[in-house]
Amino acid sequence: MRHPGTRFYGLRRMTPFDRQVRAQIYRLFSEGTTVVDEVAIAESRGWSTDDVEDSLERLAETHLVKLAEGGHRVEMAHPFSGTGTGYRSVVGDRSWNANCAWDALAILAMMGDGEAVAPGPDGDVIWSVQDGKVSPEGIVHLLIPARRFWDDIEFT
Amino acid sequence: MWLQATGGRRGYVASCQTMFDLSTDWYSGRLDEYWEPPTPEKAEAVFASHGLKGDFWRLS
Repeated sequence: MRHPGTRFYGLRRMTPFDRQVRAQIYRLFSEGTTVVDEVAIAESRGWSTDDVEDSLERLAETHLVKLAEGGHRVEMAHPFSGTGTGYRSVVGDRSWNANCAWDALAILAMMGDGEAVAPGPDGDVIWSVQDGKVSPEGIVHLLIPARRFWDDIEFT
Repeated sequence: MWLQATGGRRGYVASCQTMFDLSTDWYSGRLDEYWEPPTPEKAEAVFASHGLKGDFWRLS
């Protein structure tokens, strides 16, 4: 029987290598690498590109990453984005692309106090996080219910 | 105005502070090699601990 949660995260256990690849993806994004693909991942750890490609496909099948269409570039490793979406997070002189307003805030939750930037109809909207407090007050509108996040993750 | 961007459809509206606080828990340990994705039940418990309950946040 299909587990009702498989749409969210797959239940297959990660292999030890998949764990290392997943962690390396996050390490590269967190260090500021913007193009995280099979070559960047393999070269950063001395791994075989073929092995990394296979691992990326397994990670994508279980919704742990989203790959760009037709390739092995990591488009989403939440909350990090491999694409310039207009949403971004800034901590000091470092910045990261985010997938949405929630993710722009989430990157700050991971990386430290700073600014979350979201594109708005009249220009960028900027929230500041200091000591875990977000200002100014604002809202995030989530259109897709959690169990359907991965039906179309780019739309979500 | 923000509803115009969704064709008038309204989903779930949460404060930025709530989503930041949720993220602190949700992404805890995500950089670690031994991070495990949460089961649906665990994920729902994390959501609920930040007041995010109801059908919108149901996974199981």
